[in-house]
Parts: sequence; structure tokens; C-alpha cells
Amino acid sequence: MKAICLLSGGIDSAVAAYLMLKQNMDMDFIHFDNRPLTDESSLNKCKLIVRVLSERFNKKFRLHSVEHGKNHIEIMRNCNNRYHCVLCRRVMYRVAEITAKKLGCAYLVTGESLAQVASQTLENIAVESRAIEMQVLRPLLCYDKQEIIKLGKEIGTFDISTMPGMCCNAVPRRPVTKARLDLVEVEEKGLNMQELVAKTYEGLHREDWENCGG
Amino acid sequence: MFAIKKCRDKGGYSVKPLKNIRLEIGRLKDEFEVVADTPILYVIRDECEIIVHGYGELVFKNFSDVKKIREKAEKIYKLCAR
Repeated sequence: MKAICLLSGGIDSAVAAYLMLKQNMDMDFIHFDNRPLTDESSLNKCKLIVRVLSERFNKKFRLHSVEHGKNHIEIMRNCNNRYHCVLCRRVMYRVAEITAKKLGCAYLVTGESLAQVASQTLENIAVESRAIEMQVLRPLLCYDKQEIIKLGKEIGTFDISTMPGMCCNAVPRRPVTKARLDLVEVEEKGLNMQELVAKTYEGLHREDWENCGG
Repeated sequence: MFAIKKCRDKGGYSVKPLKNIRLEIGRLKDEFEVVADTPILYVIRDECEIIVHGYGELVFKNFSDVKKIREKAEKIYKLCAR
């Protein structure tokens, strides 16, 4: 059973990875680098998190990263800003799915939990999932923030996730909270999605756990 | 005119105008090196990278010289004010 975990460097995705690893899932990791809309801190956190999880589970995990900042730029140039988060995640899922298939993974794992941020609603999650065929596992879907923080502290990733860093500056001020698939698909017509996804995947960079921070 | 403070996630400094404003961010390309441009935000370089939102917020990446932040913010707002 192998999955690829979308790792942001934040509290939630690290804990999501841990919960699936506890179920004996084999795992690769992928980070979507949002520079220039953030700085390098998220990628550095991911490296440290992968190292912590590698040591905890006595396995040699790999962290892959792709440049996602360019995708944000394209979405901002061509689409309604309110749909940004949904469109962004649909791109991420597509890239993650291609990567997963190449690595022999059957699942995606994400750290989404309901209504923690305006964009993570059931309606939005449903629309995002429709971008791909692969199953998305969301072990934190019904956890509240305090539960996630508690777990993060227990497994040693919370301190890494809360190191100084910059969050994504592409988040709209009024994101849509009940996205409709038909409207999202209209917005996506403004993007050359196939080319966007292919180019993002072509830039995939891999870091083995020994090189991940420390 | 504006307030400077460390970002919530402590990853940089944020400058926010005290009143609601809209910036003509397209003017930035006349005076600054542009890293990325979109209809709603620009990323420019002036000793550091600065994210300039059309609604008025500036985010300074990896830069903590508050005196220079103030000077740069004044320059940007003067250039882009409607």
C-alpha cells in the first residue's frame, strides 16, 4: 500500500502523513513550492519533517518538490480570484497524481480538515477531488485544530511546522466556499491545464531523507 | 499613513495602509525590477523581494530593516497611489 503525501510544511499535512504511516502505509512526499509568493521556509520545513518521520519510522522517505509559484501566477492572470484556492488544489492534485503513478503510488494523502480555513469546505473538497481519478485519503477530515496540534507535538513535527515562515500570498481575501464544478471548469478554460501540469511535473526535484535538513 | 508589523507567521514584515486604498500596481514596472506580475499582485525586487497586493498590503520577504521597509513602502505608495 503506497501513497504520496502532499506536504506543505504546515502542522496538518505532517500529522496526516504520520497517521497514514502508522497504518503501515509506504509513502513518498511531494511539496509544492509557492515561491515567489512565499519564501524558502516551507520547503525547508518539509525537509525537516521528512527527516523526523524517516527517523521515527526507521524508513528512508523521499521528498519531491515542484515549482508551483508559476501556476499561481497563471491562475491569477487568467481566472476569477475567488476560485484561486480551488483551482490551485486541482492543479496540485493533477501533478501529484502523475507523480504518484510514476512512483507506483495508489493514493494521495492530504492534511485537509473541514472548515479550518474558508477554502476547506466539503463542497470545495468535492470539486477538487473531481480533478483526478486517484483516491485522496484525508485522515484529518474530522479532527479539530487542537487535536491536530496535540498530535503534532507528540510526534515532534509541531515545532518544525511553527518555525517562522511565510504563508502563501495567493490566498484571496474572499475565497469561494461552495464551489460548483461547472463554474470551476469554466474558469479552468482560461488555463492551458495540460501544459501547465506537464511543465510542473517536468521540473520535479527529488531529495532523499539523508539530505533533508538536520 | 501605514502600519508596519511582523507577519502573523513571523516569516516577514507586512505593511498595511491605515485606510482602504487601491494601488495602480502596473506602475511598479516603471521603477522596480519585476519578478512576477498579475492583475492583482506584483512581486518586485528592491534589495529584497516585496509582494505588492493591489488592495494595498506589502509583504517584505527575508528583510527586517524597519527603517528601509518604511522608506520602500513610502516610495511604492507614492508611485502607485490612485
